[in-house]
Amino acid sequence: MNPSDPALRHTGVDYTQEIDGALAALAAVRPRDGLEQRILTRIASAPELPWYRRFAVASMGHHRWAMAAASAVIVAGGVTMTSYRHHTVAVSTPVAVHIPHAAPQAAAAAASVGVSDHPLEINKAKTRHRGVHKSYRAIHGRVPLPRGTTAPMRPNTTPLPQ
Amino acid sequence: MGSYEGNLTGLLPMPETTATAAPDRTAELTALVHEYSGTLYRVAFSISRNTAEAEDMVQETFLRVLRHRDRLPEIRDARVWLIRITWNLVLDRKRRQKTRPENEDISELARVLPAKDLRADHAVIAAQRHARVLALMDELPAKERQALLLSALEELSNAEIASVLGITESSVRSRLFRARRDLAEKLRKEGLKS
Repeated sequence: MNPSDPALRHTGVDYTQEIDGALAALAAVRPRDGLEQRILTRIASAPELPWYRRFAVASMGHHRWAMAAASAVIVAGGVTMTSYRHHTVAVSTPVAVHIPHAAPQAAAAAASVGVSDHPLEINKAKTRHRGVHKSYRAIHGRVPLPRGTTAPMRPNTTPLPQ
Repeated sequence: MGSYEGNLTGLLPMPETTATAAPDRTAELTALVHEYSGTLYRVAFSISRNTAEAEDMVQETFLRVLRHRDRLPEIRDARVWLIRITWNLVLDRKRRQKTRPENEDISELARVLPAKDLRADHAVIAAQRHARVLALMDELPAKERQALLLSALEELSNAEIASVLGITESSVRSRLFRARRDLAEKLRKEGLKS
């Protein structure tokens, strides 16, 4: 700025040098080293950028060998896993596993007539009686027998007086 | 500094005319970071006077650019565009931080300001004087102060300052005139000897 600046003339003292010096000092401020790298790192981690572009933004100049070593480890691991999975000499050994299967038929139900093993076929004989089945006569001991029949011989039963 | 036309003619491709997928702008963005991060840092620091905050603002600027990277080919002058983004970001943050005055700690500002004097004692004195002048500059009206700060940074032309502030060139000139006059008056009242 011209020292005879009319903006400063009326004050009597020329402060142009003072003002310009302060502005020059402000303009000479420098950021800390690595500002560009920090900005690129921040951009690389920004969610706006697709993951496959983040490698392109971040400069890998300083991490070239680290990236190469990491890539080699990943490739070697992949090869190892692939060869292990396709191993032809491996002998399969039977392993005790629980395989879901149809419930075994009860002996009485399986022996009865009309029991079907088909899963979709309605079979009343399989589901009509559950639990221990007792005949009506076994529960009601005082029921008179039909005419002309005799009661079965049971250890704890006494024959009814005729 | 005189060319106001875009300096990205060789950096950015022409706008896409085909209906293909959006081109990758990461290379252009990286080039912008390397070219203008220092300038934007000084722009942010001129207002915030805080190194960490200035760096944060620069990073935020490039994040904004990243979000609108598809518009990069439309930008005529990337330098002015980026300065304007940073300028608005810092002013916006300043408005939200009304509690802390800008000239709160002059000694801290004097520590950050560089001094070209070879003698250490002279350098310290010069830095303190500069910090005092900048503190008085913060007392100027906002319009004059902003024009004065931008005129000092990277030697922006009046046309570029007008573009950043969204005013005419004649307004820039009048604001600069008033800013220097008022600041000199404050220095005279303060008793600082030239």
